[in-house]
Amino acid sequence: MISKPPIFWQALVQVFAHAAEESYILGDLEETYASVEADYGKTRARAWYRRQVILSIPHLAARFVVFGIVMSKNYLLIALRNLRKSLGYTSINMFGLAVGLTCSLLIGLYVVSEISFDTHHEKANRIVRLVRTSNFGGGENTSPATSGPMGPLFASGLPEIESFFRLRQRPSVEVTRDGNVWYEEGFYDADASIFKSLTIPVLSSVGEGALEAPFRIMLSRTAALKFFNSVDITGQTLTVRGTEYAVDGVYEDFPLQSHFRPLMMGSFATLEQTIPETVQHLGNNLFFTYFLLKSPNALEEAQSKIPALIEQTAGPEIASKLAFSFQPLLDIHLYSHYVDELDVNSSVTSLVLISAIGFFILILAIVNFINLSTARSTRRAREVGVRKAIGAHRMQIAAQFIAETMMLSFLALGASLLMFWGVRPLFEEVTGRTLDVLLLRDPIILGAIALFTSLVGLAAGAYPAFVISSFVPTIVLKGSTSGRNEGGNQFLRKGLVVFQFSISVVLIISTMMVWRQLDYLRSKSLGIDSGQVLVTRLRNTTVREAAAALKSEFLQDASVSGVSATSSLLGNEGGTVLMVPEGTQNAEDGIIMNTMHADFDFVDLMGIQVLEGRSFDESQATDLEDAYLINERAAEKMGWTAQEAIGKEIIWPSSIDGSTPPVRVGTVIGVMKDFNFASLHTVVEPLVLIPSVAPPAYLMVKLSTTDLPATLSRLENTWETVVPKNSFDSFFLDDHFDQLYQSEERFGTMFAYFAVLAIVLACLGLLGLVSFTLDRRTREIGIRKTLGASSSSIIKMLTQEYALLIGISLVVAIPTAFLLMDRWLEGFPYRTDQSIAVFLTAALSIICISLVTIGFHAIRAASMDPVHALRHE
Amino acid sequence: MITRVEELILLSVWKLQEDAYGAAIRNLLTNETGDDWPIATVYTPLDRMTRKGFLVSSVGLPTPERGGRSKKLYRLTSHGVSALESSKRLSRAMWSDLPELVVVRA
Repeated sequence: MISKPPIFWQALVQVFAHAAEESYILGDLEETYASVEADYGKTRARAWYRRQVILSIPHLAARFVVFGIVMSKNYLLIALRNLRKSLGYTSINMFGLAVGLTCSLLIGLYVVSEISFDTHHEKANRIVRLVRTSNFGGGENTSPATSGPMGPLFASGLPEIESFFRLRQRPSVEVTRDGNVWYEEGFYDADASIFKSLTIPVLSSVGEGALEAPFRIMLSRTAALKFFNSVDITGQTLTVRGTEYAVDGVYEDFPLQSHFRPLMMGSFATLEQTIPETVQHLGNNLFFTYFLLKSPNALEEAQSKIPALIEQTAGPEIASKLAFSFQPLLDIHLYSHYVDELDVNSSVTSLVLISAIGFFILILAIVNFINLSTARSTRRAREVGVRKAIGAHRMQIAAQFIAETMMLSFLALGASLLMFWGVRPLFEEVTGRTLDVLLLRDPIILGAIALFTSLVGLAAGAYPAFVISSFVPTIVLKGSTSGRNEGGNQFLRKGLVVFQFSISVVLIISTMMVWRQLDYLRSKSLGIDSGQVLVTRLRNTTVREAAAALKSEFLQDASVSGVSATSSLLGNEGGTVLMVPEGTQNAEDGIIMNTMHADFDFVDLMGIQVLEGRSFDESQATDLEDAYLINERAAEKMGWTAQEAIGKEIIWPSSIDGSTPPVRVGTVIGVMKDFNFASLHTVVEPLVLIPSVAPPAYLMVKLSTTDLPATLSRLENTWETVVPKNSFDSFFLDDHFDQLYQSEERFGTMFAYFAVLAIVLACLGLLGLVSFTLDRRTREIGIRKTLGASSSSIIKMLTQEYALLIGISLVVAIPTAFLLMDRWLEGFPYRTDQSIAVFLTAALSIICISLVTIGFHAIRAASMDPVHALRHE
Repeated sequence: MITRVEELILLSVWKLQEDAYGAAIRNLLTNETGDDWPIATVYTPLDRMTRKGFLVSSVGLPTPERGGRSKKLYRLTSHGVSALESSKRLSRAMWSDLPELVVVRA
């Protein structure tokens, strides 16, 4: 008895051989196998068979490819014809996937840009920033703003530290050179060691010792080109804030992905020479201190030694109230949200939310793509039947379907790349980030995108390829499409619709809540009347000294109802100082306060309410020397009620140990109602207002006019007559407040865009499902109509089913959105409530949108002539 | 120009006359050359030469020893014959008039 060749090896031939050749090869093998077995026995024959198959595989596979190329040209041609034949479906399906891919590309690159902050520094994992937590009575204050002596103290006291550098950030500064004047943000005083700690490519430099001497400056490429039109400018001079600096060198601009981006860096030695007391004062938290650790793992150990170091240096009293910690450089951008930051940082929560949105939108798009392709393919059951009847191999039909979906998914990828280029500028504007498009040229990422796209194409083609290709031709050709697999798929598809709509509803609600919160922040009464307050910056000494003259000239204008000179914008730029209230024994038990100097008009001008006592009074000569106005929060921190506070004495010491005479000793003459001088991201902090006629930094001009442009140009003229050659630099206080909420606004805008996209995608999905189902039920509708059903009853019947699905999505989505937004709102000390209106609007809008989507199809189906309907299929 | 393998296969088809199909060709080649030719190495050139017009194929009747599968039978065309002849001429031309060779030690 002659045996059969081994099944497994036969199957292997079937896998690799092309269908057209498979049977001849198997026949040949079997025939020879039989003769080998007859001559040498079964074992030898089997071994021979295995060897034959293994040696044949490379040839077979190669032939398969050759066949494949010949055939795939054919497949692609037919695929292209099929896609063109139903252009509407093709474009909807392609568009949906392209939108999804574009969104995920954008969001992916955005996330990459967010997490790559500061990673360009080679020693980034060894750099930490010092964070101070002080508790000198009345609550904790945690901030990365530290005093000057901390850097050297820590560097010499902790063996884990290799070096330190300090930064002081300046608000917009005046730069002059050869009679040209510029106003620039981004001036920092920095220790020379910054160049050894951070990775800052230097374009030109005096070499060793750069930025070490006083009155030296390093410029970024941008600054050098702007001021000197050259990067080779070592030794030239430049005046910043009235101080002449010699240029020590030029460095490459910091990448956009940096938590601070200095335009210019003045030597720290300049400060040590010009204001040594300020730099040495322990209570002046003006500086940001960074350390380079010897090893990335030394953070914990170094941190554990801090308390002992503080105690040893400042005594146990201070050590109990002053704590420090190290914050890794790489954590700053996403995790650091102190009141004092060098720049607006992002939050990791937002990043996670955005990534989740990107992920969901992609899923939505893929689900749609698969759903639509699948729905579409069932219409082609008859085509499959005919092909099979003529003799098409099952694999050929499968290949045909897969060729189509693959082609479509790659067309979508192409379209999405086009969309990406189109939308990128808008996206970058909204997010305020530059995307690293070079990443898209990385072969690995490109490969991953291509692989992903083909997987999507494959997944979308899988159902038709493997299920429809298995239809028995006789059944399919007889009429009713497939007759199987209906129930399960229907359920899956409906589930997917619920999923899509839930996501859309969550996105709509979230978008509305984000905007509501933003609106709340903007419109919440700050406790001051900031409307029509024009702030003019007094840039240099000339202008500052002319402040009084400017003020009286401005007041001449009929549209100006008041002018006040101040030292800082609204108490948030003056820095914090230690103030010692009456009855406190030790100076170190004082309270950290925000200070602001302003002239007598300030309180009235800003409409600040004085709860107890009185405001500053110009007629009271002593006010200038010893009056303080404090806010409610300050009174509370000092342990007084508003009434008790009046008449209490507050000392502003110049040193902790009292060895130097205090800066100022004064009495509280009034308590102001709390107003938000910083942003609503934080609760109101203690503030002390000090009357001053010293040269101010700002003039606040309260206008009462309906013709702003005319008033502004009149004021500008006035300015030019008083201080010629100095530019009029002004902005509205309201605009400044709006800017504080920029990151919420960006977040809100992003949410809105993506929510719209999600809705579009969900509707596409619904459209696909509806058209698929209606197509299935055309005959049913025809029969119903013939039996007397009215169009409206049919529309109702069709709509009901989907109304239920939408209802389920609402039930799922509303609590989810509520919980999500509750979490998000918790991050704000001042927040809006979750309004029923938001949920209702979201629900109604999604119901309307989906009914329109369904209705369009349902009406068409219901109004169709039953004769046509019955001929269908 | 045809390759050596193609030439061998064309010659096998010629020799096998009415019974030139995959297994028979493979067996002939295996016996003549002493190598165990994998079956697919026969089909690749067969197919290529069919497309070139040196061979024509036809499907034979199914046989039980093949597990009920058909044979794919090949016949030489006049193109195939002239390809073989020109190959033979070329060989001859190359072999003739060879001067005496001084063998270089490897």
